[in-house]
Amino acid sequence: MELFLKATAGILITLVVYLILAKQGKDFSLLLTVAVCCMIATAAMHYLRPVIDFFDKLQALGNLNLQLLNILIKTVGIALISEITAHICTDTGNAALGKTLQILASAVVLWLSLPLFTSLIDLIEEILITV
Amino acid sequence: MGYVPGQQLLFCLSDMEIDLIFKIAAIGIIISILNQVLTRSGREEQATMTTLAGVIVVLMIIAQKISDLFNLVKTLFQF
Repeated sequence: MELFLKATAGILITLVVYLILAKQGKDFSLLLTVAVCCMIATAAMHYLRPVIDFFDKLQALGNLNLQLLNILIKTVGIALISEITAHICTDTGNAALGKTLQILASAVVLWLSLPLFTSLIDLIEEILITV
Repeated sequence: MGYVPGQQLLFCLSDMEIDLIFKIAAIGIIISILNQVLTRSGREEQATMTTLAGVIVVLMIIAQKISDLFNLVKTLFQF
C-alpha cells in the first residue's frame, strides 16, 4: 500500500513538472511522461507476478490446457502495453498512431487466439459427431 | 507461500522515481534556457543542435527504462 501511495505522489509531482516543461516545449514533457509511465507500469508488473502465479495454480487444480491459459496471459500483456502506448500517442496529439497500434494489438491477439478457436471448433465437431 | 513486493522495490520506486523525474526536469529547463539564450543572440542553428542533444540524452536515459519494462513483460506474460 505504501508503494501505491508513493507512486501516486510521484505521479502528482510528475504532473506539476510536466506543466512546467510543457511551457518550454512538448518534447521534454513527452519524454517525462514516457519515463514515468514505464516506471509505474514496471511497479504494476511486479504486483501482477503473484497473480499470474496464482493462475498457474488454478490451471493445475482445474487440469486446464496450459497452452490455452498462456494465450490468455499473453493477451493481457499485449493489451496493457498497447493501451499505455496508445494513450501516450493520443496525449501528444497523434491519435492516428495510437489507433493504428490498437489495431495492430487486436490483430496480434486474434492471431494468438487461433488455437483457442481451433480447439472450440474441434470440440463442436466432436459433439456433433456423437449426436 | 505468498509473494510480497520487497523493500528493494519500494526503495527503487521511491528514490529512483523522484530522482529521474527531477533529472529530466532539470535537463529540460537547462536546455530551454540555453535555447532561448542562443536564439536571442542569433545562433538559431546552435540552439536547435542543443535541443536535439538534450532530447537524445534524455532518450538514452529513458531507453533503459523502456527496455527493462519490455523485458519484464516478456518474462511475466510468457512471451
